[in-house]
Amino acid sequence: MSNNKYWQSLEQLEETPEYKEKAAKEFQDELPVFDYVDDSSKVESTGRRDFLKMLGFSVSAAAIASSCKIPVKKAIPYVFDMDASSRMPEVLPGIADYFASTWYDGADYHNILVKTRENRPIKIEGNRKGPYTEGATTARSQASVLSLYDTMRLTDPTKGGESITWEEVDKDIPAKLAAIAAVGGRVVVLNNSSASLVTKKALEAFKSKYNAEVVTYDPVSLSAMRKANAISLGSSIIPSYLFDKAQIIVGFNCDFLGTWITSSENTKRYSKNRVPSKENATMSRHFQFQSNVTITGSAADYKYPIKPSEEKAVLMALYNKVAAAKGGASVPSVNIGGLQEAVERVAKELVANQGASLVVSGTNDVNIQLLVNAINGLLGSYGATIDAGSPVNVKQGNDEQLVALAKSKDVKAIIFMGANPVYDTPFAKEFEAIIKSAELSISTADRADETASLVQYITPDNHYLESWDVLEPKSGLIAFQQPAINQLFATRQVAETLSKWAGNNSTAYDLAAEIGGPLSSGVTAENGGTSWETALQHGFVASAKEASGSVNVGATLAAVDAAISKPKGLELVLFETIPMGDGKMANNAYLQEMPDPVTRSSWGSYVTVSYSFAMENGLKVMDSSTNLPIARITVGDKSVEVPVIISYGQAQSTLGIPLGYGRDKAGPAAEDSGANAFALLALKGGQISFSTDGAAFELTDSKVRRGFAQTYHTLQEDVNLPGRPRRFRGHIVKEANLAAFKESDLAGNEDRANIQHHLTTLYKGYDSPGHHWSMAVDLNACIGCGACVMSCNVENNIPVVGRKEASNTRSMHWIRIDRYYSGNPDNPDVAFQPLMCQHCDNAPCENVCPVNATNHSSEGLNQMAYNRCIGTKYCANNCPFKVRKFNWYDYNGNDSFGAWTNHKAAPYMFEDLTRMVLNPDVTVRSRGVIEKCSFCVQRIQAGKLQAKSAGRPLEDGEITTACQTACPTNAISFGDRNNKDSKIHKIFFESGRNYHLYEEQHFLPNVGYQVKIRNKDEQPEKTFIGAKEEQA
Amino acid sequence: MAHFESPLREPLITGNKTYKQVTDDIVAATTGNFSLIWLVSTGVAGLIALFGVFCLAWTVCFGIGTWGVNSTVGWAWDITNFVWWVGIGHAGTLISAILLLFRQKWRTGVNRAAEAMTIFAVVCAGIFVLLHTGRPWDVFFIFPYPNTRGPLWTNFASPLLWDVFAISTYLTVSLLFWYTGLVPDFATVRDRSEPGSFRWKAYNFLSFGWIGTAKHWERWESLSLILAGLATPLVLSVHTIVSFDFATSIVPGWHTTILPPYFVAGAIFSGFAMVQTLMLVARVVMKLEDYITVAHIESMNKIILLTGTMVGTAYLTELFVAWYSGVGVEQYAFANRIAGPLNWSYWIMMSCNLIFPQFFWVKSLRRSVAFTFFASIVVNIGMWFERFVIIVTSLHRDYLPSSWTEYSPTWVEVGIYVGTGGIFMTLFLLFSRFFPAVAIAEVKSILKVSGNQYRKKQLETVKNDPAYVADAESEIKYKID
Repeated sequence: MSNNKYWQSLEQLEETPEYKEKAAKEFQDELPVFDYVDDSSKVESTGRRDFLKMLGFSVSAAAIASSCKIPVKKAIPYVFDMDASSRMPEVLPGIADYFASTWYDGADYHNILVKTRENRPIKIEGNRKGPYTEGATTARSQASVLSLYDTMRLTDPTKGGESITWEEVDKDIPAKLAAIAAVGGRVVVLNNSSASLVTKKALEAFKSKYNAEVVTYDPVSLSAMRKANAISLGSSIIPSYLFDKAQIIVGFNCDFLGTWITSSENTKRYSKNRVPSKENATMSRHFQFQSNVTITGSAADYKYPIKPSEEKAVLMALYNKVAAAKGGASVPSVNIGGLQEAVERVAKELVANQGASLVVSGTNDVNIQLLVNAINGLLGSYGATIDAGSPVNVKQGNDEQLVALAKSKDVKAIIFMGANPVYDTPFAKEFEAIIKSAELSISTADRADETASLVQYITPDNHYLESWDVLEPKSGLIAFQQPAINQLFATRQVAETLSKWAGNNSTAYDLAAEIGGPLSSGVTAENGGTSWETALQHGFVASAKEASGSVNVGATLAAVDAAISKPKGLELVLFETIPMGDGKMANNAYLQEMPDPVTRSSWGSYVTVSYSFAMENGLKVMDSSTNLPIARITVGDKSVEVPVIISYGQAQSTLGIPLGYGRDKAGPAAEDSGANAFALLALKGGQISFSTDGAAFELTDSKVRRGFAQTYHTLQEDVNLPGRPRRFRGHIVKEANLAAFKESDLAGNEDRANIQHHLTTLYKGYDSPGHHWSMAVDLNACIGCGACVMSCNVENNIPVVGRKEASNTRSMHWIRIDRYYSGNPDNPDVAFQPLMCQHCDNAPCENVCPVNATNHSSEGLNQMAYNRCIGTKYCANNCPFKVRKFNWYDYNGNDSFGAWTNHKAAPYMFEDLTRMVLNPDVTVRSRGVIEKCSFCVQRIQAGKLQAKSAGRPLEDGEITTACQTACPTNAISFGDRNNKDSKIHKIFFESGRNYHLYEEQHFLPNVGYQVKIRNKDEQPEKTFIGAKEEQA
Repeated sequence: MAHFESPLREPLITGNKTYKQVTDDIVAATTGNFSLIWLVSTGVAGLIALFGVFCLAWTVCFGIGTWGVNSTVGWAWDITNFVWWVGIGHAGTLISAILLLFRQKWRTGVNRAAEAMTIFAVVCAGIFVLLHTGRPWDVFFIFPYPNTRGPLWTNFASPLLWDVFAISTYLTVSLLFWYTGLVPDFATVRDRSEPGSFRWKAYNFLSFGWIGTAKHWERWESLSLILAGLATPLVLSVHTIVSFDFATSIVPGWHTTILPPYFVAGAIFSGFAMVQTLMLVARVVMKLEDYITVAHIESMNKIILLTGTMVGTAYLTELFVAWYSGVGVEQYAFANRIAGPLNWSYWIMMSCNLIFPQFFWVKSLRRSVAFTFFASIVVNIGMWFERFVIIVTSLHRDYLPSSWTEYSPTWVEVGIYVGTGGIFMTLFLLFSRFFPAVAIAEVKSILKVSGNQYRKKQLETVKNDPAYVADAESEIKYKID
């Protein structure tokens, strides 16, 4: 190591005194401070006392300043559970967790997955592994997540309307019950159908403790079917119907795809045999006899309007025809007039396809159900298309017990277990009297509904997304419910409540585990969990059972009362609609706003009349107004006033009024929704009948504006110019008959080759070098049920616009299901066409936006930049499909506007509680901007990201849109058209059925439709006789 | 100085006016006490304008939802009114620019008021441009200004953007042209007022210190000519571009190439009608009959007849083209106009615009003040309905029958429309009171050619001409004295 020292200057070398002095200082120059202060301060430097004064001042000033009240913001950090042994899912912000659960509403069930984000349930998805429903969902199950955040839910148990604690409840009620039971007082539990094994067990314990009786009823009852089956099958069950096994399906007033029992399962099965392909050009044939039009009737190949009073006669005639062919005893023959031909045809086809035939009726009438059983028995349907060995646990109600209870006067204690008989039975007055006279009345409703508002105690039940439960919706299927969120309020699951009153302090989880554990013992444990936990994770345990009952046709026939009564006056049919059902979810604004698939009306009750009836009564039709005349419908001493809607295909001399409306105490969304039609129900043969005769129709002078998603109903142009042919826009919904399709898969789509041949442009189109997202909608599979609409609503935070705005045709739905009629207006053919943004590659909306707020992505998406939009609405005008929706008002309670500017007519998204349903992945749109279908771009991005982080190419089917996942019939396919192996590529480039809307206009939509094939022998009628022509 | 003009031509200034009288007559309207009729009409118009402002505020506070428009009919009264007002504005530019270039002397009597009308109409139209948007506070996005938003830029392919440029250019040029013309007249008014008074100071300010030197006049003349040159293409461009909003779209009934000429003709048609409506009232109230004569009225009626017939031809051509095109949706759009649920609006349009102006083939009707006034109102109603027909009846039934809807306006929409009428009238009344409503300098420039007493002299001159044929005197239908 060198010892050299390098000098920097001569001074350093010489070590002058000046240098030494400088080197000792850190700063070479004098600090310039004293150049700026005057001499005095130089002398009087700050003393110690001054320093202390200054310090004191600063400290006290700081103390005063900081002691002013500053709002404390509380934030709860996510708890990252790093303990590997814990099997609780880790909550990661931005990552969704899914919990398997089950939807069950007394009539329908399906296995679901509950999507939660940051511990909030925000979406229901179908569980594709579900053994019978295979991922099917319905509009109501999709919307049920909003009911969780219902502001009308009770936050505490109440006594006489005042909030009390559960301790008080558990002290008061068992004591009172014990006192009543001690003197032998009658204790009644009134409930609706339930598949819950947990509740069942709790009820058993409760029953034995207090000597209680349980009465079960269904607002929309099918108890006659159980009674008929007790005669025919020997046990009062409801069998499983195997619509996929049937080649000939005959429905009698049975909305088995919509509101009847197990509709999700039926829809899944039905659709398996309704979509012909080039390779397998077959489909079942569906006949429907109906009084009012349902989606099931609309899906049928042949439909025959019949009055409710004619159903029995038609079935008797059908039975006789089948019996004549099969050799069986006959029933007295009756004259069925013009329907004779239809019955002969149906009978012929049924017999020809026996063993693959199925007859169903939804009518709550023992004789009718017996006749249906007899026909099915003759045709050998049991064991083939009807599985009596797998009964379904829906519609368990017994009308006779309900009637007996309603008439009884000795009830001392009554517990309404979720039941609301004051609203949904015709015995409102009777139950009011029972409540008044009972010593103890309790309701477990989640709100102070029509019944609960009258009782002493309300002990609110959990929402099903907060509950632990083990359900057996059908024999051989155990399905679980598990909480996707902790209880929002101080509610308690009804099973836990009943157990507690019965002296068992177990929690709902313990009760569920006690039953679910043994039931899932056969499940192979996965992921380090127990078999019970694994079963919970799957959401169900299925054990396939194949057994069939046989029908004693002789005994069945012997029980039939063949007398036919003559109807008086008009016949009234009371029916469930897809959105409203029995009215349990009436305060769900999403459902209120959902247009009924058939009438396309929303937000309220109505009466449907046939086209001819409307003509006879001078009601204008084809008048695209939303202003409806109000009619007074009188049955006996009861009458309701409801607006009149023409339902094309409604049977002559019948009126239809939907159930589920007119709930006074459900909450704001259900207010002013019209008449409660349950009050019009009558008893027939001990069963509640959903049709009645002797109705009177009287037009009033008043009118009401009503929400309509569609005010023009056919593809036929409606302009009367002399000599001008009435044109049919048949290229919008292309149709063909199965026979034609068998000959060529281009049937109905023959014009497409010519259109494509003429497509040309001067411009270079958009390049989609990577993905090119496209969607295909199979018009044959679509039954119009609206599950996609509701799924889209929930996924994409679609605002609810409310009754008034819906009547201004300003609904915000990103996907709608257009419904078109053709043929005879008294019995038209129906076509449903789901319509969402077509994501045109040559989009008319894109080039007219002055600010580039809507533009095209390199993946074929038509995108909206909401924050860039200034709301000229030019794009909406220029959209040929009218799928662009404008935020006319502030529907979301935007904070940046004054609260007084919020849209008071639709206050459904203003509450913090309700807003918990919003999907954090999707922007909530402000007032004044356009919005539309995005092809669920958030899901596309999430899917791409997932594939990218796993370092693999995206697989076909990995990305699904909300509408697609909800669809029970798989009518919607989505994927990357550039992927040669994808399903969408095959549909777009290989299927003869694929076409695009207004293809000749060269919009180049990325949505394709597949030609609707009807299994008809006759060519469909194209014309639709409108009112104006009739009048002319 | 003044060139010779055939005595066969009708005098454009009557009443044996001298230069001084011209100044006196026109400046008189801006002086003296406010007349009762002026006060009452300004008050009423002001109240209506305030109501319009209230309705606008209502819209901004609560949203476009307060209107009757819906998911299918996205534009209705808003854009109808916009196009109507822009159209009305056209007459001013046409009179000041094109008629100047064509040396139509009669324009001097009406150009000032017509130009003022243009500006006020464009102001009214601008209200709709701004407030038909859902978020008027973000409308500045429409300007291509450098921003921090990355590649976000305006869409130059959008006709709405062209509209913004067209309308703002139009307003600027019209305003400049109008003001340039006013400068010497402001000086005249100033010179008529007491020096040093507020009035003097105000008009002195407005006249930019004009002292009428030869250099001033020379520059003034050049500027007027340049502006006329600039404004001429605007007459054609503005409404052409407005028509592009419709013509470049794909809505059946909008997507037609005939729209630009048809819109320009319609604009001039409605603009002249509005000039007639205003001038017929103003000439009586402001006692300007000698400057706005029946000859002026007749000239304008001829233009109304011409443009009305052009518009009518366009209506019929559209029908032919729809039929000839063979495009189903297009044919339906026109069939629906004729016989659909809103066909009453089509027939109002047809009768007011095509049929009614044909009465102007009759000279007596063309020269009838009362009939002209009535006709001018009818034409403006018809032209409003033309835009309503194009916009609403095309939109309410287009491609998919499922989305066909109806439309009816709400009180807010009607209130805004009526309110813009109030704004327009208020501005016009203020103009007529404080500004010289007739171009003094320009009228003086034609006095010695087209004044009635000079016509008489010209007649004398002609009589002395050996080529004079006495019969020609009978050709002179007008009254010289």
